Amino acid sequence: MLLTFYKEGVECGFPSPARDFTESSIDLNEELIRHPNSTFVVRARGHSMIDAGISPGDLIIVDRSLKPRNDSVVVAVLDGELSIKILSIKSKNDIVLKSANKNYEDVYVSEEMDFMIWGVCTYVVHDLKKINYSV
Amino acid sequence: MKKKVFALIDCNAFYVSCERVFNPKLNNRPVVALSNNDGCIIARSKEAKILGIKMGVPLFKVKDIVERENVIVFSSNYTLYADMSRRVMNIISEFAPSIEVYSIDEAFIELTGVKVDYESYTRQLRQTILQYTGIPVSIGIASTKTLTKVANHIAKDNESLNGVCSLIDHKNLDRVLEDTHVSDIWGVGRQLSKKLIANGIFNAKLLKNCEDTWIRQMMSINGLKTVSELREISCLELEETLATRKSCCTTRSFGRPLVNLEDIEQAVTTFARRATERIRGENLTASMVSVFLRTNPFDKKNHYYSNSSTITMSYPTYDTVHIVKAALAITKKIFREDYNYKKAGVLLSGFYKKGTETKDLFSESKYKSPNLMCAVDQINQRYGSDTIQIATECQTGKWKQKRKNCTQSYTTQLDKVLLV
Repeated sequence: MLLTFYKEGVECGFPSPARDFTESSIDLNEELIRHPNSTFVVRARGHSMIDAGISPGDLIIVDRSLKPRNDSVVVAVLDGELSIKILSIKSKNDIVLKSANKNYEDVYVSEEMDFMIWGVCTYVVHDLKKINYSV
Repeated sequence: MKKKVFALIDCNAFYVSCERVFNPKLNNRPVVALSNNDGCIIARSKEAKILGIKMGVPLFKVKDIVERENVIVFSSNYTLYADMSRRVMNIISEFAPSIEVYSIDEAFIELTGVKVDYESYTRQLRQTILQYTGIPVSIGIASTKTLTKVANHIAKDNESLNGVCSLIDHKNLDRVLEDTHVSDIWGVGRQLSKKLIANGIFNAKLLKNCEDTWIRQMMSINGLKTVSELREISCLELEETLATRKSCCTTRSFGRPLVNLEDIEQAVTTFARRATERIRGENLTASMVSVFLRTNPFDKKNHYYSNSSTITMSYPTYDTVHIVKAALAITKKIFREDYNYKKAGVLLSGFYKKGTETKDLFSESKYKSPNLMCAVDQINQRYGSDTIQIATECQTGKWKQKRKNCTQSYTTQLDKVLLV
């Protein structure tokens, strides 16, 4: 998953006058993946999170080491199904999974449901070239 | 002498657990993973164990149970397992001053002198691995590596322990050893345990109390180490750096029997390339190349044929092109027409640490393409392991293995990630 960024290019001919001013380039791995051992990339499917800026086909960076809080965007597991939701914790026994799309109903987590948080979503990578992911 | 403290961290049904992380529906259901070529069962969930599916059995032998009980069967997805293993091992090494990665799903750590409560510290390690990766582990703590294996078994078998068992300052170690069958002792193989049982030594306690001279006769010097370790005397150190290996072998059964020389050459080329990549990664050069070929020994209808041969290189090398050439020359030599070949392998040996070979005045030039090889390795690491191949490989892939139920590379390729 890790991409290699080449910090130094190949040198030919006259040395660049800007040479003394170069800094290492921006490393998105470092910015977006703070905990490589616990970070996974998943792809969003469906429109349930559209108002939170997550479109179908977007890549989502998920960090499993983070503690989910009220209003965290999470990957949740409900009865074996994975989905991206907004976690709303009113109290310990009052947990609601909300979508970011008014056409989708909130899910109230009851005790008999098999429920766990798979990880906390940290960033969305959205392709502005609008490549059509038919998912 | 001051007692040491070791811990053994072992992933529970590792391959099955990896699949479950990306498919939570598999939780609480019987799941098994198959070996290369979909042959034998090499990982079982707890639920599959309860159904009586034994470790290592060929799939066809348990077909009835699998169908009747809806057991879910996976081909092994080594790309995924290797990536998950890397994550687990990284987390472990952040918790301990030293680590020995013992296999894809096991690691020893040493905690001697670390000022923590060993049990609660390893419990925290277990919880961190589970949260960060989704992989459940069992941890055994003891004063010797051999005893950590015993402790680990206990942690796995008793759910009430929540995955951690310590034998440090245990009040009744003899009782624990009494419950440990000789064949379950680390370092006691099948032959040896038969011999011991024949002599009335059934469990670890009986073995521990044997006389040293008898043990030495029975089990050699390594056996004496094992027994000392049962007596809480640490003889086996943590092996942090991989010992320089003596050989490197790539071998596979073919997905279906091969008859033509070209098809076998194609497979041998891939094996030779992969083995060379591996030694290159360890900065070794090889001076000997061996190839073996065989038909299926269980095939009663056809004649059995098996042969192998070795070439000594004029100069130790890690250049894929030279090693492939040698491997193909051997293949031609040992190949016989009209056999159904089932398996082949390439073995590299006679290693030197790169740069320590004796220089050869005449064949120096054979050692000229390190940059090319380095570039090939980088491309293959980045774009998938078979992106750049040797031309003899790039044909039909008839030898390729059966991997019928293989899941995708969820963690290593962007177009294969989990859909949520």
